[in-house]
Amino acid sequence: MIRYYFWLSLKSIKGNPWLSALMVLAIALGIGAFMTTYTVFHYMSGDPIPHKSDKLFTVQLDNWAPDSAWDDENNRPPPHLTYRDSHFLAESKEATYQTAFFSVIMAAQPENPDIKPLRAQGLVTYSDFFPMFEPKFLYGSAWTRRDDQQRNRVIVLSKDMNERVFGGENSVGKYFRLNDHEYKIVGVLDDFAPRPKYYDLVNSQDFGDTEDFYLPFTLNDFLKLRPAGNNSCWKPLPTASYEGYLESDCVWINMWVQLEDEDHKQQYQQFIDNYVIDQKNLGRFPRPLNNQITDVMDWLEVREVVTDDTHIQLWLSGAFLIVCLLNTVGLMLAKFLKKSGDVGVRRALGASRAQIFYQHLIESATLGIVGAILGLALAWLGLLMVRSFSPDIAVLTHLDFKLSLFAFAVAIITSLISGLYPTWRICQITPARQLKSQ
Amino acid sequence: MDIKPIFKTLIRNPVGLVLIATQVALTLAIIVNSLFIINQRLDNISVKSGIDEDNTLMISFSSLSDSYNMENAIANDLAFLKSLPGVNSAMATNSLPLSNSGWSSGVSSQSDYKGVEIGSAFYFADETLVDTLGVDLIAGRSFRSEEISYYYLSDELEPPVCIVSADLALTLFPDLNNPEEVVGKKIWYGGVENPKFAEVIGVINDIKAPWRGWSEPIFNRVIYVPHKPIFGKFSRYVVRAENGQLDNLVKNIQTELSNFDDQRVIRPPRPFSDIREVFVRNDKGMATTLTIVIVLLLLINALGIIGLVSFWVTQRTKQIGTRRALGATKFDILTYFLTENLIITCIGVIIGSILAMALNNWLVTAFSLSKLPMSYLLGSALLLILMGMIAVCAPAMRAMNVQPAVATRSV
Amino acid sequence: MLKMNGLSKVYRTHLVETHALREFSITVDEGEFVAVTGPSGSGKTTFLNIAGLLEEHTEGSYQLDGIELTGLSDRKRSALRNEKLGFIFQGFNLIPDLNLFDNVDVPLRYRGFSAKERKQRIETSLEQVGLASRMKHFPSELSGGQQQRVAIARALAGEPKLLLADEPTGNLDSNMARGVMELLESINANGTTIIMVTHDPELAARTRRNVHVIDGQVTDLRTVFNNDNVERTAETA
Repeated sequence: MIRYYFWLSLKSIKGNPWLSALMVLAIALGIGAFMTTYTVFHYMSGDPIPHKSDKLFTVQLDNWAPDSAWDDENNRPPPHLTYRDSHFLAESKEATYQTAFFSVIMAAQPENPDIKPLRAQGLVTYSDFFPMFEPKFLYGSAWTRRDDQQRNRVIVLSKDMNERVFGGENSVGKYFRLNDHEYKIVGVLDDFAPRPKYYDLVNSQDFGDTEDFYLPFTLNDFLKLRPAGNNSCWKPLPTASYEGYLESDCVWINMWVQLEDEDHKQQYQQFIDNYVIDQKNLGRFPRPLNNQITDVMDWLEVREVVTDDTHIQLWLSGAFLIVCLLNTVGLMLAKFLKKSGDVGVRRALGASRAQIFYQHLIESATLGIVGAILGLALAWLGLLMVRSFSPDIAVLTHLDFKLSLFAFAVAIITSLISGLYPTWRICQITPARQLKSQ
Repeated sequence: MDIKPIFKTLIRNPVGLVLIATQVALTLAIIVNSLFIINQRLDNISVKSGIDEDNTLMISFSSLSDSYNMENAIANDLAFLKSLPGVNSAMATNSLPLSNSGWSSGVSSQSDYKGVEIGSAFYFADETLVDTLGVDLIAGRSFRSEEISYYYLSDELEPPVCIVSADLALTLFPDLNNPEEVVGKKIWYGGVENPKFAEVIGVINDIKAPWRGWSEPIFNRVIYVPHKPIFGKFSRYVVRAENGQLDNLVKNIQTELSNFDDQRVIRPPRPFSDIREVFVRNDKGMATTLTIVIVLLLLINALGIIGLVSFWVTQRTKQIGTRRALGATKFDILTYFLTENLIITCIGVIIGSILAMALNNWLVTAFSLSKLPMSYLLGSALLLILMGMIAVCAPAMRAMNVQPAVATRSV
Repeated sequence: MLKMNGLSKVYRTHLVETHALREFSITVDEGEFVAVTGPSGSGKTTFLNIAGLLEEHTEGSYQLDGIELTGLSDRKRSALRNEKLGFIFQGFNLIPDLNLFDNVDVPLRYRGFSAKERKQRIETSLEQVGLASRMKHFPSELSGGQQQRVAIARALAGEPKLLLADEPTGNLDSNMARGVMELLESINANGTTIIMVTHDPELAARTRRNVHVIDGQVTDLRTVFNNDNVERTAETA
């Protein structure tokens, strides 16, 4: 019977091409606009590491100035830590994994004289970075905690950097020259670009760049590198030197830990609170105790990764979809009521009210399917436009199978909802009156 | 024309009324707020940075080795850059307006920091400040070459003199009649524990900070300090081209500099137009998206009205014919449908206005947008009524042309 | 075949109450051909609508083919309508978007026959009315008489026990009307019961039984064969 209804709805669409086209257009535009903004929202708000986003926590300690909070409004501590605090936390091994890191810019000097020195962005971090954030390795593996302790000059390269300098071959065991010093390559990553780049939201554009290399944090006093990202100080350095910088209360280092469960989290909170209380006795941390550990998804929210603009656009396109829906209700009503006579005949010939109902519901759904296909095409165009405005999110936003399916579902549900009232109306038709009025 | 009978007919069969009016109401609510947002974004997009945007580019480099002499490199590079054909002027700096990265710090008009501490962007410049950036120095003087020194990252920032933006001058010294009077005053920095001051020697009009600043309106607050910055192995130049020479310079400058000294990595130059493009990108995107939404909404509404009214006309063909047979003129029929549509649209517009204000209220609290001016509401309402009238014209004309003979035809 | 007892139908609006039928009783036996006559507004169409399960009656009882119909669900009434009844209307009521084949197909679809059976029934019934060759044509391409023949084919395709005709010749010229009437008579001769509402005394005269409806009540005139009696009935009307 469904095939018969479907056949009838195709006939009805053909019999009323303009009205049908209008409805399809309304559904398609609504779906197109909604899916464009929804896709952007979906990718922005997605979980970048679903299987453990509730186990990874970023740590903040409030070491800010006594008389002015870092963030008056929400009473959040600075997003970054000082060198001495992050160094202490990373070395204390109280969590399953822990790492401090900051990004640096260095000059890479390939041995091949044909390749000019190139700018490379790197992360100075602990070996725990790799088991925590789980990048996949193309060759070799991460360096070890022992490498951290022994301050070995080892390096992990990104796939891209390995391709640029070594033509993509297995470079493990070779040396990589940065700012006139050589580092032994222990591993080469496969593509690694979590979106959003949750572990370094403050410094990178949320959906932007990736690292070219990773160096051990413990080499820092040898590297003497300043962060390429944010650095904030509330008082002058104790001495005007790099050592003074490391001793200072300037914040510039990301701190992440992996904690297994709620108990573990509470233990860790206790641990950092105790640490800060100890430091208070040394005259640091003048503000009230306000240390926070925040998991990945909460952190994305704190950093407002999904921008207000995205939210506004999503809401507006939702409202737009509702307008399109109302529009379709009106047109559908007109289309169905035009056919009142035929419905009367069908009722007289033995169609039950339920059968008439299904027939028209299927007609709505058919329009929905056509609208969905067109709407997907429009959403695709819409995303092209979005990409041209924000190349950052370009990598992210594509209509994959799941989203397309979702769009289809929304389109069909939309058209069914908008078909509901007209269908109900048409089912109320008293066949007798229709048959006589002709 | 008496609207009472039309109104009664509408009330008796209110489905069409409800559908179109709700549609119009929602549309109005969306359009008003979208127009408002668009207008704000257009303001953002057209922001003036305060420098000679058409002829400016920024280029940075990192040296390779620890032994590299940054001071010599900067001195040589600047001399070399100024000697290049098509270059007007060049200087070392940390950042440019609208570039989204730079320095900021709190400053005060008093040594004890009592009263106010104002966040301000810090830029580095040398004696060529006015020539290189083309800024509008409205009072005082620019830096002198003997005032310029190198600044290393670990150094305390201790400029003896500074040049400020007019807006910062008035914010720090609210008692001044005009920003020019700030010349000669002291600006304090470095915090309560270690207060130091710089004397203001000049005032620049309409210069912008690298970013807007959300919690604090830092956008118009700028301080220039007389230093050439050396950030470890990294430094940056701003170059002003002769009129019309920028494109050429952008093409060649990276090669020229690396040929001049190849012991470093030179990054591709960024013409100011690029910096600006990135700065306004989101605003542009938002404005475009919302414009498209508005156009589509009007289109959908118009098509919906055309579709539904066409159906009504078909449904009432016999009734229209009867009216015509009973002496109604074509004009009567036309005005009937126009009036009917006007009533529906107006009902929608009234509900929509309430909805629009509610939506705006929500946007204000949820996304800290500003309050909606009434003129937007009025303008959008008129726009929608006009849209309704245009849309109803086609089907109303069809109704107008129904022949009276239709009344007597039975099938 | 059909038995109505003390049936009444009241139309209510918020202003008035109209009694379309009151205390209406009639029995029609299997194989009868009944003509229902009466002035406009007398209730004959209401009778036909109730007989055809298009409307429900307000009071009384109605049995069709031994089944009591009072209080049945829409689904059951629709199924009965589909299986036991055939309709022919004054305005033909063909569906303009469908060709002849698909028009006749409509009731068979709701019956749930297989594609093969439907095809066979459609062809047979269109042959019966002499339009098998025009199966792919659309109603608008046919004359009024031909359209009514299609409507009859559509009514016959489901092999109904009772055929209900409402002014079947009302929109036709006399020549075509005669053809349609002859077709109905041959259908009746094959055993299908027919109830026909008509204004036309000439048509009514050709049937075995006339029922006259006035003010929602029935005057039954049983099996009158000679013309005198027909004229007498017409006079009483």
